[in-house]
Amino acid sequence: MYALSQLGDRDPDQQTVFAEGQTPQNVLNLMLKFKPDLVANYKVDQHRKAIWHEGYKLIRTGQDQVELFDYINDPKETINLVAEQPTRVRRMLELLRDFELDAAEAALTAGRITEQDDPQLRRHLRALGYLE
Amino acid sequence: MHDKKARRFLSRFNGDVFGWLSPLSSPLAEQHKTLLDGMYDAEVATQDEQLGIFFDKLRASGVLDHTLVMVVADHGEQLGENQLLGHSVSLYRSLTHVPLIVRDPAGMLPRGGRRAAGLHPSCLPHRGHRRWHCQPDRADVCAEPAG
Repeated sequence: MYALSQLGDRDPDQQTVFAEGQTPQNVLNLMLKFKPDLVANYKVDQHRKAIWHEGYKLIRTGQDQVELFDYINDPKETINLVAEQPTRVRRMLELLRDFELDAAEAALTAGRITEQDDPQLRRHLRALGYLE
Repeated sequence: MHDKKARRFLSRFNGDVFGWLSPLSSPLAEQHKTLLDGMYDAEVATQDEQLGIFFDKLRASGVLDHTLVMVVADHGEQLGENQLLGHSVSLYRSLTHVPLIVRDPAGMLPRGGRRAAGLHPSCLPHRGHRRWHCQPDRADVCAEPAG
């Protein structure tokens, strides 16, 4: 059995992992209706992205809120290290932006392939609202 | 469960769908956190037991060693951590730390790290001539069609 932490250089992503999250619109609508103050306090309407890199995890919420955690020594993510480690924060934000650019390019490529190659899939995607 | 207060809390909690989704306006009381953690652990234990029964049947019928097994999860669950509930609104560990267990008796998959997003493409090239069905809205569900 393998764990990511044991893989070292065999990990194809060099132990850098990305994630993103967005509150579903129906959930957000309910919160805006019943608890708008909590939407603002918890930035529920903001897009979130995270990166795990060299033992640290950075979460960016919207464009300005950044959190940095040492996930080895602080697995419950209780201590935000943003102020203590500005260099690491800058590097991880750069990696996150590189990932966003790659993802945007991949999405464009996927869109081209979809449109050219598979009319049935295109119909399904349109029905789901993913294509105009 | 014999504690009336605990039963009442759980009954109200289960009936309040919006409450499962929304952040909390104050920290969860310790006894409520313990109760939710206990219920969650009980659910996990039940799933574990059911999977055990399932794998025992696969073994008994002789197909387990010809079966690629992947145990994955699409998210965890917030039970009051960071004053959050449910599985929206954050990328904290309680949501992102999920299991990935692979039993690959034929050695079909490459050894190394896997991401949840890579699971679907990982299993596809190894299916031989057979067509796999993956539900488009649930990339974690990947099963061979009947017949």
